[in-house]
Amino acid sequence: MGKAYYTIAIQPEKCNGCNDCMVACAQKKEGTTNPSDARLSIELGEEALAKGFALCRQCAMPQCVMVCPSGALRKDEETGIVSVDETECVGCRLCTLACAYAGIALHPKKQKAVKCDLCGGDPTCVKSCKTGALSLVTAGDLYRRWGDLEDLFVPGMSFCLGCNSELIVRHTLRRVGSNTVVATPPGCVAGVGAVGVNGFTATKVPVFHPLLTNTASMLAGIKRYYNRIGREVTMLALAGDGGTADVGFQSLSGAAERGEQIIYICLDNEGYMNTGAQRSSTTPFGAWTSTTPVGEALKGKTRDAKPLPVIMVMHNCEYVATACSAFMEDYYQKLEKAIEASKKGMAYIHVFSPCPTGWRFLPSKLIEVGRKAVASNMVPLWEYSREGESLRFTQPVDNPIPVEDYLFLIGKYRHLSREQIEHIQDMVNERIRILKALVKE
Amino acid sequence: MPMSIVCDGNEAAAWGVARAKPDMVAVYPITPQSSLAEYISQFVADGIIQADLMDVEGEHTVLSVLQGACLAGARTFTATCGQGLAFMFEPYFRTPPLRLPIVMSIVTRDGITPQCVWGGQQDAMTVKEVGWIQMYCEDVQEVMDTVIMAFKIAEHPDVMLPVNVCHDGNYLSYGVSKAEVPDQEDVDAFLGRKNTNWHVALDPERPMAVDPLTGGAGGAGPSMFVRYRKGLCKGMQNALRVITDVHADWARRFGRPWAPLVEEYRLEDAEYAIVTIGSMTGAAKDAVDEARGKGKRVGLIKFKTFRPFPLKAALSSLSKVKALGVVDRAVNFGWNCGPLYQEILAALYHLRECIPAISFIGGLAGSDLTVDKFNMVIEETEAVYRGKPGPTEPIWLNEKD
Amino acid sequence: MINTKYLLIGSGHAALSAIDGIRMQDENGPILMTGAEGRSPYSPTILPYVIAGRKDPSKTQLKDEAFFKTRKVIFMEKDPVKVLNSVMSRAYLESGKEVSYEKVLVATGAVPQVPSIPGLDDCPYEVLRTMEDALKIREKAKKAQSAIIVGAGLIGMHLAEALSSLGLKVTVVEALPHVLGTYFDEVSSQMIRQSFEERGVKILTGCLISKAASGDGVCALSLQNGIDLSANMLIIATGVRPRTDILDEYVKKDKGILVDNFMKTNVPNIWAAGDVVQCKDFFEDRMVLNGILPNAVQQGIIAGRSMANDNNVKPFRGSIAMNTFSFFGNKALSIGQVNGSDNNSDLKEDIILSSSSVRYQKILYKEDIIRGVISINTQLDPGVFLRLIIDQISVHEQKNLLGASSLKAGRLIMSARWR
Repeated sequence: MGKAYYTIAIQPEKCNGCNDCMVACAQKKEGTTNPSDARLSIELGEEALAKGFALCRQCAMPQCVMVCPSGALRKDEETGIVSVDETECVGCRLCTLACAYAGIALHPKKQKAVKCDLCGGDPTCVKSCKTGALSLVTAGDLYRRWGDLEDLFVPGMSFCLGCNSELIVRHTLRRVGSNTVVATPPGCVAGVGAVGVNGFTATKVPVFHPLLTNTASMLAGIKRYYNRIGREVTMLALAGDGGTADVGFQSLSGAAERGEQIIYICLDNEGYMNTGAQRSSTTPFGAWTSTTPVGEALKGKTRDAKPLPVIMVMHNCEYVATACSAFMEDYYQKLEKAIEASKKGMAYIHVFSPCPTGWRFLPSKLIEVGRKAVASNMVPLWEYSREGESLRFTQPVDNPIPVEDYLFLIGKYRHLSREQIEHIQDMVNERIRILKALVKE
Repeated sequence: MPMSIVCDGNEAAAWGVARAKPDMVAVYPITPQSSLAEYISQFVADGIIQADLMDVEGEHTVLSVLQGACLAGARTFTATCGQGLAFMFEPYFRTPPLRLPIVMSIVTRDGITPQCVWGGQQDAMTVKEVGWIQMYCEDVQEVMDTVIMAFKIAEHPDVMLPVNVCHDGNYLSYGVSKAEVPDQEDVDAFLGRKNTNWHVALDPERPMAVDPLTGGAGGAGPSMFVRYRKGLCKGMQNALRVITDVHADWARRFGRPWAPLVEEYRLEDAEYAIVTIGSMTGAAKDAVDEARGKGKRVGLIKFKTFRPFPLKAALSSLSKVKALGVVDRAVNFGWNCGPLYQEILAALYHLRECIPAISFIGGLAGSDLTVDKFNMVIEETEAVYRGKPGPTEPIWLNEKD
Repeated sequence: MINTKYLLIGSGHAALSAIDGIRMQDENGPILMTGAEGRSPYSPTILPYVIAGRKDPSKTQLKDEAFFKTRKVIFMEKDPVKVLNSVMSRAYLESGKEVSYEKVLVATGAVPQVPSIPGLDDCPYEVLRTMEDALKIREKAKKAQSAIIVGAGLIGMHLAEALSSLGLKVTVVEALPHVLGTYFDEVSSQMIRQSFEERGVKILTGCLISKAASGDGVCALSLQNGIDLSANMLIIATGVRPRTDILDEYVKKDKGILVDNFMKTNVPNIWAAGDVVQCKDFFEDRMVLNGILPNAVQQGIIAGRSMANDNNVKPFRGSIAMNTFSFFGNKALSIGQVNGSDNNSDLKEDIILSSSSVRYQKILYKEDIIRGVISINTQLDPGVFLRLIIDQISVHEQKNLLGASSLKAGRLIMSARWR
């Protein structure tokens, strides 16, 4: 258990539908050149990005193996490969019912289950793929890949225990790299010493304190000058929600409208957490903060959070996404796109950033809070790119858990009344409805 | 050959900007600066200015983008006034301690409220303590020349401070006269190579952290904070020398000798003097001439550089007379007088001599400071010179207009 | 006295899945699993294949020793629990041993349900639930020329094909009007029935049995409609019922053990999963029996994770009828609701029917959400459709494609939605 096994990963946007992978697989496994004999299949939809991939994921807990009544399927504990013993398969097809990925099928002639076995570890389809759409990865690959890159923040910064922002900013800068100017306006990231204290700094790349109000503007000025002198330098904002949605919003809005080439990452911990947990415009309805306290007359914030990411979509940014550290791979994919998009205009990522200190939950619950925020649609994960002109859910939640399953994990919601919870549930439903309206089918 | 044109002060400033060849100009329109923003935009459109034109969403961002560009190494310019300056204040009062040599025209405008859109120096005078260099111009040509000189002053390694070139709204912004636009190559030779961020930069090739948290009550903080503050003060004091040198250099190259700090007019044998700042000086000089024609021994002291306050130059002029009438186009509410007047009193302390001085306040919200008004100023000043007790309150020159 | 943290009673799919569920969260907590038959774990589903000779009975084991070893599970394969004392948290084994547990999973499965037919008790009839049953039927079938199978459910029909393929003359007797009525609608049921009948299997539906008798190696049935049948073998395949006999009265039961969506019973440290439970239905607000293998696996995982205090475990989505059924080389599939458009006006059908070959497909929609699928010999990914149903994904835009090109449409939606 807990081992990182190999699987074939797919990047649909890189696939050109050439069928080389299917032909290569058919040749190797069946001795034919007929793509339909392959153990993976790519169906092309009408739109460029619409592709249907049928391929085994070599699941960690493979349902096909678990439902096989014949003991014909097994997952190798060493290699992780899920394979079929054809002599033991009775062709009952329960495995095809258990697999939600169309990764296993009945061989039309043999009447036995057949599936991808990663060619024993060196899959021929991956080798045949010229566009890089297929790659062999492990679940731990993500961390191995970026782990090799330098952490451009020093160790020992004074983040709180279990801080989500620390996780995000370290990973972000690792990926964005050293040819970067980092802006950390007043807030948690600056507060832990990212820019530094009394002559010492915690960041190994150029970093500065913009004002709380002008992060996007200052980065815009820097970027424009580097463009003028022909140098490619990345602009990265690591800002809080206050400096983004409240007092810094004008400069952000202006920069977005002008298409400034900035990666702007908002770490939304739903308030002014660096200064004692005061409310911001992204503080959700009902939440306790030190300026929306709970007492006889007041029961937390009385207004809903400003839906900033959607507002940014409406600015025609080059790229807008929401993210959550409980879905790191999702975040990395978005970061990749943001880096590319920032060469043309503004890339904005709104990262949900649960704060154990200010929200009152145990640091060990950080990822659980993130997962449930997503599972309840409190924090829908999506992306928008101007090129695609559409919004897309990256982690669609078709059957959301009730918001209270999320809310009750967190101390700042502990006082909520039934009516307040219903209000939040209604708000979540309404916002999902609006988001769905932005999805171009 | 220098180009002769007829233009207003806003166009003159735009020509100065064109000759200084900035990398980035940022503008947000506000009366009476708007035509300056328009001239610059048109110059960019026509290729006369080859700068990045940042047409941004407000003055706060105007100065913010310039700070960013300057930290990356750009030469930058903008202009504003009045409420625009007020809105810009947050990044504005951070510019000097960041030591960014940004040049900004203030097309001076009176403050609201009451709501008004006309000239007056209330805006510039309100921000005088922040650490920007402030120079006030008298005419259209001086506006153009001073904008160019401002870049050289700001970017001087001994200074590295932002400069406000102030020219009066209405009188100078819209008042038209003949002016000469210097040749580009002459200005290029005058300004030399720019280097705006040798001291502080946001550049991956020279990684540094800009503006860490500094101060507090222990460790390296207190002494480090004082060092930064004293450094800024030193830059301001150095600016007095540099302003003088740059004006001398300008006179040598372009044949137009402007008084760099304080101008004396008919002061040699004067018994008393009037003190002016900005465009009012023209009418004031006419009044002095008239008075001289009547045999009155009156002179004029004009402040061009107001920040840093040119104490030595001021003392040398002030010490020549025995009474003063100081004319302000702004109000110092805290002292119930004009702000320049208050500064003169502070300077006089250094003379170890108490001479009578009267505060005149006029030209507010676009009202006229005519020769007649200065005749009155001269009369009142002469009276206190003759021994009449001076008024304890300011004299409001346009009160009965 | 044996002490364990987790006691798993039963060794079928539910209990085996619970092991992985527990180990996701708790790597070392002691697990003890008890079996009943002294065999390696096997699946009852495989038994018709054993009878048909398509599966070697010695190779039916689902998990080998290494599986238990790497997961640190002690498996007592032939010492079943006789009584569970829910108050004392004790299990008493047949060998007389006592097990003290912290948490227990009851996954005892089901036992055949035999209808009360006069005279049946005196007949040498067979049932099919255990490997012993299968081996016995297989031995008998070698000498028999004919068989009567009572019940046209999955086991009955599987057996009919198996015995017919061994050369027996087979008659199936079913009380309901159609074969496989749980899974297939009238059209598809008829299609299946026809295939059987073409191969000489006699099928009598809508027939109630009035009495049974035997003698001279022959079993005889008299039907209420006056028909008399006789054969060398009589097999009762009229379904199963949960095996709840080891439980005391403190554990709530109806037809099966009543569980919540985390497979918890009313007793705080007792969970139940698989064929033994009565649980929430997916479509309707009622508690149902649903002895289906994929549901047992899901329930086992959820029970295991819940037992190990996994906070992130998602509740069971409710029981959904589903199965695959192969007959004479044909492939049938059924998921979810397959009947209902007649008496339930908000359900709509999208049907493809071939008149010339054994080919049929029906997708049942409620508005834009798929509620059920029947497929006979059509191309689609069953697991993808199951997920579409479970996630209640709105497929408004893709409806046409889903009917006309089910495989492609399903895969396109899959890649967009849960890749």
